[in-house]
Amino acid sequence: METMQQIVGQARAAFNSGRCRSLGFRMQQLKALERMVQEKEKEILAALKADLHKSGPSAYSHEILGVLKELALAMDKLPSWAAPQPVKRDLLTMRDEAYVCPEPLGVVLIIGAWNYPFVLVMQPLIGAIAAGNAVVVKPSEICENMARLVSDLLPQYLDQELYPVVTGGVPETTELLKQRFDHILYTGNSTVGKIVMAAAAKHLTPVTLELGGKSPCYIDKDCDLAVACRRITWGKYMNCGQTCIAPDYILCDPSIQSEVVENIKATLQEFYGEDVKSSPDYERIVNKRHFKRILGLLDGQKIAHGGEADEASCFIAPTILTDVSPESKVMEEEIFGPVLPILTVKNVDEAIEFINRREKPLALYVFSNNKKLIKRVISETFSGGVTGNDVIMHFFLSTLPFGGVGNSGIGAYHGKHSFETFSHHRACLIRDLKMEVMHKLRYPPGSQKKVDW
Amino acid sequence: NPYAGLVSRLRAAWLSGKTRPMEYRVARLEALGRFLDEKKQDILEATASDMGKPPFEAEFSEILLCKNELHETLNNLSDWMKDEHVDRNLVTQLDSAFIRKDPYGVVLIITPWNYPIHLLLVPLIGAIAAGNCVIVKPSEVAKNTERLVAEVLPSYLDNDCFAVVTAGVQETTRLLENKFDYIFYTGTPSVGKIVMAAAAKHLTPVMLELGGKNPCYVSDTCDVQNVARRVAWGRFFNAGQTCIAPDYVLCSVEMQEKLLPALRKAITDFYGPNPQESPDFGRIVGDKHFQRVQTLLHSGCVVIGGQTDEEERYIAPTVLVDLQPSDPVMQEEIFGPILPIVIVANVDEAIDFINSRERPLVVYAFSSDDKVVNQVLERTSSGGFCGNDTLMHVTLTSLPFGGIGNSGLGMYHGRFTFDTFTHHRGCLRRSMGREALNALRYPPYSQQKLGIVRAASEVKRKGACTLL
Repeated sequence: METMQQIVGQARAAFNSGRCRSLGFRMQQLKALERMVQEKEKEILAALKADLHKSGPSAYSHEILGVLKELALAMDKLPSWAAPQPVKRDLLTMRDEAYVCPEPLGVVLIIGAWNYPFVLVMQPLIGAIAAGNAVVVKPSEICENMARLVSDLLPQYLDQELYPVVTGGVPETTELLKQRFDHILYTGNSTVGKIVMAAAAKHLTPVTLELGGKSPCYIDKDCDLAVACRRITWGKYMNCGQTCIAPDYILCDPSIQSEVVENIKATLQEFYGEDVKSSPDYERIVNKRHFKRILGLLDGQKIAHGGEADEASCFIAPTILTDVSPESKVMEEEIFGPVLPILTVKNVDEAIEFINRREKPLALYVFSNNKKLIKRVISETFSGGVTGNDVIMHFFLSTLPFGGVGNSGIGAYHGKHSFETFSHHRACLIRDLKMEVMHKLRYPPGSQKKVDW
Repeated sequence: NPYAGLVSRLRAAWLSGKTRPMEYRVARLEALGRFLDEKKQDILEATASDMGKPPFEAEFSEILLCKNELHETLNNLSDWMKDEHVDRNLVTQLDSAFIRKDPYGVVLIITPWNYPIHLLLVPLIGAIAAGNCVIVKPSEVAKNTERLVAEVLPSYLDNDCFAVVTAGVQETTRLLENKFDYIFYTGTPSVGKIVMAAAAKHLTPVMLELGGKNPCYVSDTCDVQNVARRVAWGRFFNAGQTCIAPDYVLCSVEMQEKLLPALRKAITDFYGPNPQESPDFGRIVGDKHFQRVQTLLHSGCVVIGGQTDEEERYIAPTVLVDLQPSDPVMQEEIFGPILPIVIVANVDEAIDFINSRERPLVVYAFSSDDKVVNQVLERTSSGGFCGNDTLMHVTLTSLPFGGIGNSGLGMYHGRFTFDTFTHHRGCLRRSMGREALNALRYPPYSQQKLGIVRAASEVKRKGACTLL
């Protein structure tokens, strides 16, 4: 049984051999990953079904499709991303070569999360490989089937020394974090995020922390409620609410609260039918611990819809709470479940104030026909990212950097941003050994004449 | 928590939104320009008192380079602040997709003593340009400059939103207990770790500008006198107290024979026969630092210089030879006017030597042969790289400046400083209409819907066959 030190040491030796530097090699690995996703689609979907009760089409759109797109993008753009970028020169450097050279960082650690266990490991991996690094992959142990699958599959398709998979829980991860990496990308919660950053600090390792928070969703009176509620329902209850950018809670005027509830109820019916439990498209809570945690949030709350639960299958029905108090338990931590609290606010000023009194969230949502109001909410609040008049969608546009701010995270990735996150931008100035006359001005002995010139 | 009041006062100012409008930022930046103009003499005097900084060096590094950054920022601020529209995919084709440049909030800048104005102002310029409130902590080691900054700079700043805090090690530790929205630290790797650990408690992003031993490879094919001048200039500028100074030379025995007389000549040309009398050669900043650097003179053999004067904290421009990689002078960043020469047989050995050590802030390579310079560039890793010169890569504001590994994380200068202190917020603004297009994503899911989604989202590789 290899130790963490051995595994990481082997990856580092492999990196130092230089074989992952060439674009040809990186392309080859990315192509192999693409083959893996295409050839093992059935196995990947089966693992997602076993771990999270994800249906085939849902799992495909949310996990596999995104990975294939990211792979295609990386392979298409790699030559241009990796090319040295010349920069503007000044009078002194006019005759020199000045450019920024993207270079690999070295050995990168990717710690995945359990809610989208495939894409949250693969998307960073693609960027890290594209940037020329060696990568240690640590999938979440909570999704046992996916963790096992990833550790079986990656060595079959990729260079085994450069891209090892490490499995295990807290003790193994703690041991892994003692090793020295050149970048760590962690997806998960803020508490563990602090532990990861503290471990990284010991080695001066840069980090990208994709954390979470309570993503607020403000619904203005002036908006098409039916459309707004359908979109919110989709984003809230997908993956049974276990999405880092799910709209966590709603803020709206008291006069539209019941209409919001009715619209969501109607949409839920459309999506999952009369008996949600028997819909193949509705997922389950990942384990008993989270099941109990989420159920606990319902204590003392006004349940406008849902609330049914079945511990044996970790089923919690899509639930809506109304007239929720800001001080209640359900408003303390990220819900990460199919429970949607609605809090009433008198106007947009109150909504903005409410949002700003809390930690900066990963995502912020605002629904309104009034463009000015949307602009105002965005400019007077803070969040990792924003989608106006919809939810989740900013995640799917890879030209937008995806990441948090404050308690919701540090750094960003997706698309080219992944490549840049996992690269070192080395400034290069190449001068001529001749033309010494030009340089004489800067040498001592100094004199006022020289300075004035 | 002695600084809690100050931090919450600044946070309240931040929440008021005062620092966000462009006009406000421009006014604050112009005030910094006035500080550099009106207090130039004071800056020259303070840095001269602190480390004997020659007026030419002070004017160049502390005034001129700062003004360049300031002008670059003022000229481009409105562009940098604008929302950056991004390419959209099929699904978002009709939406508005852009990256907003949001300030972080209340930012802390901890600055070192060696270029006490430059390394304070350049980050400060970027932090203000990005719309933040800032607490600046100048170094307590450069006492006169610290006093100047603490007493004079506030009158050029809006005291609601900006503060200068003077603090030693203990107080800085207390300061770091507070929550900041960004911390920018310039200094040593060991303190860098402490800063990052403190930041981790609050999930505060950091930029660390650290240091290391910057190697300087000199190949056998080169114009020796030009090399000697450029290396000597970079090494002895500010009496060697420069994070990007060439720390040691790697060359062959033959080159060393040619380099030594050339270095001797360059030093004499620059500082005269007795550098202690030259107004163009600096001093070590403090007694503790003087003792540390002086001890390093015992490594190897002194062939040029070696004289010291404790009272003045003067150490002569010195070159050492006959060194082992394990000698004390080869263990830590020298940060003084000592240039060790280490013998290597060829460029491959030099590259191996460099790669066996921590990644430095900069790698230097001198050769008339482009291929040799490129070899060193391609086969090593460092913050930055400069071929055939020293220090100059940081004077170009379009090049990012930063370290890697032990020499730091993050990068700044020019636009990169603005970007460092900015949260790039991805925004997508959709319309309430066209709901029919969303139908494909909603449950109940079906293979048919999935088929359409797959076809619509596929990114085809150019020229690739789509039949599988």
